[in-house]
Amino acid sequence: MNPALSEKSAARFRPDATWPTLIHSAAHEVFQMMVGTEVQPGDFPPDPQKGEVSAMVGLAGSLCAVFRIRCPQGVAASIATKMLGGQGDASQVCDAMGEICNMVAGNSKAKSPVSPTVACSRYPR
Amino acid sequence: MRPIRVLIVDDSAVMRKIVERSLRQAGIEILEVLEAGNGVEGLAALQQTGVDLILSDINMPAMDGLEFLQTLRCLDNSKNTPVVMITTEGSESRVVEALSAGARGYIRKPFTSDQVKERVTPLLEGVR
Repeated sequence: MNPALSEKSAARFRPDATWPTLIHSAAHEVFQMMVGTEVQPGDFPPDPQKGEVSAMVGLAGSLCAVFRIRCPQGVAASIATKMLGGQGDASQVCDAMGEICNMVAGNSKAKSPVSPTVACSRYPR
Repeated sequence: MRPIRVLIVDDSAVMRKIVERSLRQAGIEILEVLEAGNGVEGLAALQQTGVDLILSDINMPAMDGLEFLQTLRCLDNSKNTPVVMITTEGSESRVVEALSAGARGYIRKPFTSDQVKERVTPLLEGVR
């Protein structure tokens, strides 16, 4: 293996037991501040049949991850409406979900104990 | 302080509305809100009219917030306009880059209207 690649690979951060707490905390903060609602972690796996709206954001660099938020259309519409102070409409649901996902990813990154060089964008270049 | 003209630059229409609402909740009187989806549109809006305050995202397609900030400093009607970056960017180097390029502050998403008020109000003290 190319020694440079090997070194780069070793510098990557691996998931550990602290990550779920960190991500829950980041999501809780985003939903509390931007949606005005509380979210709590569930122990159940999401039902694939209920995932009608999905938003994804990729992180690249020494911390590589894909953040994904998935929920039924009605929940997504409710999130968009609350974000916009009760004035949202159907055309803004995807935009709102993208922003929520982006903020949870960014907030998780900011809360992480490491400070890797990270690209965080919905527009990969 | 008189009601202000503000330019909000963000590729998310939802986020532009949230920023506008946060400004109003912060007690800032707004005369007019100009909206742009990226730096190119932001510059086009500024060529039509000057504003008292610019709030801009960093990560955007076509022209990002940092390039927008650097370019608008060449416009006669905007080179002294206070610019606050509102972004999910957690990287300190990007924030330092924005401040070095002339941003007067930054707000990290998620944010509250109190945080907007804290960052923006001091920048408007000179608006008469």
